[in-house]
Amino acid sequence: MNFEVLDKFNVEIIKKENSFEKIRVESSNLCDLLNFLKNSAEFNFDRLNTIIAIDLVDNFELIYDLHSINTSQYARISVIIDRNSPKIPSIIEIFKSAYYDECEIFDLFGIEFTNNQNLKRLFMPKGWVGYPLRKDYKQTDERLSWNEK
Amino acid sequence: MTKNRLKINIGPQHPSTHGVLRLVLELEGEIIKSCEPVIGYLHRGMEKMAENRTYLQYLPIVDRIDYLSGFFNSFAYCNAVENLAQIEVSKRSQYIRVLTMEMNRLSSHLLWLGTFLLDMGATSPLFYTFRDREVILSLFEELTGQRLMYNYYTFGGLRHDVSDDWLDKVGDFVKIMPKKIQDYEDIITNNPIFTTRTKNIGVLSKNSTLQYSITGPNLRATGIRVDYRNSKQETGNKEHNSHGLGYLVYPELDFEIPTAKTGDSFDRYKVRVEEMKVCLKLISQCIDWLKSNTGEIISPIKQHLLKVPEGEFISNVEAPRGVCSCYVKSDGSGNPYRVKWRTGSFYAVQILPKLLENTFYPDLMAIFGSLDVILPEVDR
Amino acid sequence: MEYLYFLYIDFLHKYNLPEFIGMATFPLLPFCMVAAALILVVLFLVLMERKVLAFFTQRKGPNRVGPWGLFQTIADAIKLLCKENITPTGAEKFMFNLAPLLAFVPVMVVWGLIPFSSEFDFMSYSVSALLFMTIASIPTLGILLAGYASNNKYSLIGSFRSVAQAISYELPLVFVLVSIVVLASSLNLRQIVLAQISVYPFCGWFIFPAFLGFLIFFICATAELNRCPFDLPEAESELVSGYNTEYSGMKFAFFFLAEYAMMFIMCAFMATLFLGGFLSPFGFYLSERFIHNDLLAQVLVYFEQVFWLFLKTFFLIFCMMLVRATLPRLKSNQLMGFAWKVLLPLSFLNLFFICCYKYFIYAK
Repeated sequence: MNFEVLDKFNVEIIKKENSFEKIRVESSNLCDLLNFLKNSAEFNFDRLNTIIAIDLVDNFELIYDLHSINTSQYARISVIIDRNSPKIPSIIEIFKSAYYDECEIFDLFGIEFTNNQNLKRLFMPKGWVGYPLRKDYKQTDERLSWNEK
Repeated sequence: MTKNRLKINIGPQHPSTHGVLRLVLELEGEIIKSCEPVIGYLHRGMEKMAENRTYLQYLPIVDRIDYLSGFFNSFAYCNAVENLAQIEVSKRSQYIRVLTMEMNRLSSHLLWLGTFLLDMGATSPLFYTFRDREVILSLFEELTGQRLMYNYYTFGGLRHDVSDDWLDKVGDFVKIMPKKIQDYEDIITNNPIFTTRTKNIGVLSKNSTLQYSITGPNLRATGIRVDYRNSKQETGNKEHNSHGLGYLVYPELDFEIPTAKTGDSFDRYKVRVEEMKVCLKLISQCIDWLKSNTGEIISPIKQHLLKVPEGEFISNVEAPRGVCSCYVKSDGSGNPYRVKWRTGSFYAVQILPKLLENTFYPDLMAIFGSLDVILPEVDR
Repeated sequence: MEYLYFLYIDFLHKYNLPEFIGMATFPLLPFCMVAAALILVVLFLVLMERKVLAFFTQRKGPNRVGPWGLFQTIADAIKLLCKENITPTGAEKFMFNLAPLLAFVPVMVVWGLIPFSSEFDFMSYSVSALLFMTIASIPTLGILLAGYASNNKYSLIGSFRSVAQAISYELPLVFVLVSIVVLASSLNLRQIVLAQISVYPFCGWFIFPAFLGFLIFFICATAELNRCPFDLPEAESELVSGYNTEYSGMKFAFFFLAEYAMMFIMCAFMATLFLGGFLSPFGFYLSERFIHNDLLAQVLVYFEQVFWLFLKTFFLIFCMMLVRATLPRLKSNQLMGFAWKVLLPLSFLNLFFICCYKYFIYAK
């Protein structure tokens, strides 16, 4: 695919051996980029397959997996966020399906999506301490240690 | 909440939520005004589990993500690891994988058909479809030793080969099945009660299915002909990163993709029934190939010592409930660094509030049932 | 009747009991017999339903307790009797306990109105058909009360539906009944049966002139009984168990019993109105033909009449079970639309047709 038109969004194309191609973008440009990819006739990525969050120990990476129904192509947008203040703009205005994905990531990684009004814990119970899928997570909740007593 | 509204709580224990979904409904008389799904009752931390286990140790667990179509999860994970570690899969293994997966899709759709109609108040079809599903499960039991959690695929191959005897049994089953499917259609498709309850109920537009990332038969019921098995896309633009279309040997097989037009509950039913017929077609093609060809199926690599080079991969599989994607990131050690599952039901639950707004309370079953949601897949 | 009475007095004399005891207890005897018969019939009916449904779905059905699973329902009944009676907190206690009785007692009463044989009916009034319809609609009150008193939203919705359904379906039911009354020129159920006697066997049954009415009546009766496909008040996929969600033990058993007893009675009522009730389909009674002892034959005829009635009733029940095994459930708005837009006009049509028939042909 021709990604040169994306230069105005400050993108960096990452291609490593044994990995898929990623488009790295700053979190401030994310919404604009996704909007462009979704609506431009050339790309027309109309379905957000999923959002993948990865804990890279120093920071978090989010991968937005976009699929196109018409051209049967994909694009993977990667965003790096700072671990100390994990915040990223929400994309539910662009892809409505992102709501559950964002809730899930908020629940399991503690990444906050600004603009997402109803962000809530999706799987873990209310009042759960910590974010389980972070690499430094230690299980402290008493509700799970019933069999060790 | 206005005064006249009745807040009603469906689930987590309720006869028709297919597991432990909870829906908080607000009713005005019998009309649903708002719906809020509450999930997480079956959250088992599948993704966290992967990080503490080796690649092989995680393999039996993935079958449990969607217990009705274990082969698909298993394949998605194996496919990702094989691509990362660059393991070749022999042709015969691929054919057996297609054969087992299509049988699994058939059994999953049969169970869906029975429970969907049970939700609508018809008790008999449940027993009929379970009777046929039982045959498939017995065949699986004979092949893998398990009825639901197969653990049959390995990295680069299968645990063991299929016997000709077993293939004959599958062949017999494929021969009687079209008549059974015709029977179901006779009792259901033209039933006026069924059609009035499902036609124009829970209509999904093309746009909203894509917006809400609905995939699988639910997407095809709206008329969009997208199937990740098929390489012959309508406007197939084949470049290096088309998303894994036509995985395994599907491009060599001959099958059509059933679609419908309006995207209501009836169309979702129709598409699944047609898909069952396609499954049979694929199964018989696989049997023909397997009978006339031999080949190695046991993978030469040492499964338990598997070290995967650094990298990441997403494999997309067309599961019975929509696209099942498995993302695997490896840091070069014996354990996966991160595994992420994307399942069809997760997004089907998300669209419920939109679909259920201003419908009648009994429509809840016609809509929710037709989406074919399975809860372990939602919560993972 | 007198013959039976003398038999009874003789029986008491053997045990040196005075005659006035016989006089006082004799009218109660049929009631006890009928009530016991009803309970037995219901026990059998539950088993039959399970067996028939099992047959349709290629299963065996109950087959563990007793031969052919015959004692399964009895075992279930004993289990229900032994179970704890739970009254939920927040329930309206008095009404919660009253509801099962209100559903059950009217059923026992209407049972007595059915003419079992040409002699043997112990509640015979000139307006018994009307009385039947009136009392048969009381259990709906019990259901409403149950839904209201259990303090459960599922029950409440279930009972709403039940009342809406009963009201809409009672109208066509009564209009069909009126057409039968027109045909028989009587409101007495036994007179209705006797009006169906004809020269040729079973040609006089009212199902022939009023076939449309019979279909309407069958559909409405299914709806009245809250049976599939009209089982919305207890739609388990929507309302868990509907109005009886909170009931347990004996109180639940009352609802259950009332439901099945009502099903039997409704079918017997239908058989009485349309299928000639206790009349033999051959035009003569087998016992009259084959037994030459007059006195014995006279007694046996009564039993034979009961047998014919039961046979017809069970045939209708079998049809209802067949419907249950085949059809999915209707939706509530569909249900109301069907009653008011289809069945009610059809029942008017039926009544009009019957009146014309009566005027032009039957009158000759």
